[in-house]
Amino acid sequence: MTAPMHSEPPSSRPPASGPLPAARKRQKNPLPYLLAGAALLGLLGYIVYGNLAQNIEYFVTPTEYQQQQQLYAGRTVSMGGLVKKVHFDRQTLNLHFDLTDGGATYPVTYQGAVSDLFKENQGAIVRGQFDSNHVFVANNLIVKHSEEYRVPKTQGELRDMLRNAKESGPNAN
Amino acid sequence: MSLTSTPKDRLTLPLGLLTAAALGVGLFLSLSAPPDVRQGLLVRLMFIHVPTAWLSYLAYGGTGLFGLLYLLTRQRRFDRLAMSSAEIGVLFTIATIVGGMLWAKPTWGAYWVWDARLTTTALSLVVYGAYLLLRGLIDEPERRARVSAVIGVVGTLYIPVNYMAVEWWRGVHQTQTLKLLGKIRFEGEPVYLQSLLTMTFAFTLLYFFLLRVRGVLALREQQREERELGGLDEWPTSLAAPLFTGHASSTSAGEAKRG
Repeated sequence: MTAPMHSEPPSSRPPASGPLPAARKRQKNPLPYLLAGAALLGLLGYIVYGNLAQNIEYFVTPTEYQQQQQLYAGRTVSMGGLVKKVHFDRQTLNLHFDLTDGGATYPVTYQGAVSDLFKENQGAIVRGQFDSNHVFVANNLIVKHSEEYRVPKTQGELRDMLRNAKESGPNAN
Repeated sequence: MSLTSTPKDRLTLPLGLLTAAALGVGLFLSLSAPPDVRQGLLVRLMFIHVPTAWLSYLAYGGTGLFGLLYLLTRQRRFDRLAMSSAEIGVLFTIATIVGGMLWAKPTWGAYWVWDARLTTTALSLVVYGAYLLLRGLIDEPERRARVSAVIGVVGTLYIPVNYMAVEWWRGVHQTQTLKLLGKIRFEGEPVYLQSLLTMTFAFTLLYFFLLRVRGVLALREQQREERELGGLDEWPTSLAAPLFTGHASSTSAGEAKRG
């Protein structure tokens, strides 16, 4: 009772669905493979799409921007540097700061909530364009933190940490 | 470690218990680590994120190594181990991505960015997803093993590229906290290193445990495949005996359902 019993596909199709394949006793259901293939293609497409407007170097520095202004003029760019002179309006969520790498400095404006780690002297990467007033209008802001982790050493650091933790509650930012 | 399934398995259970114990110690150390001066308790995500990434490297490396061993020796057990390792690698790459996203949102301010490290990580899912898909599409065992071994060996390139992505290209992802290039040093409190190393050790054990379990399963799958292709007589009896009983009953149950 072996060979004919195995001929039916194990699932999803009604029992009377055509002749059996000769070579294999266990026929594979193609559906999982089609779905997996489609998922892989979708993922690959998403990766390509996500990287379309990107360089493999994720951002330029303010100095590089300054040196190649003609190249970048009018284009959406990602610029990374250190954050200085932060002004944040908690009511309107308007954020103004300077982005610098020591060589060049550009004023940046951004509207919206930012990560709790965003603060003075923090690394940040902004994506956007310069407006007519030579202010960089960012529509995306990413905080780039360092790979160094340490526990607070002084009472002052501990107090700052606790205060930051408190401020980053549900109603802050 | 011997992966031929001997009648009495003296390895899997002790290895599993050891893994569980190490994970327990590691979790305790991780969850009792003090908060970071800037990130607070979020720093504890490192003790999951880094070990899962480490495990995925180990697993993809295993796929390459066992694939190479298959090509050299043509022993099918290496093919089974390569496949098992690839599955573990994909699973833990997904775990790395999920854990990383949960860490990225409160620190970077976004779940995902297309920097070099994250993009290459996502690409590994395509490569090893295709590896596993291809295995399902090739029926002939020797050919399946050969083709996937080649992909597995080439795919090993992913490990150095992904590891070095944060050094080679500018991105958002921070560089390694435990510096292994050049002079080895740890850019963090020693108390974090202790948690990180314990968890990494535990996840290394976890890899070998999962590889063992999946390898035994793969052997049973292979035996079923051979039996269905009529290769029953070729079985060495020592191999077949302990697995055959349990397996035969499940197959006959399946037949009964179909019949």
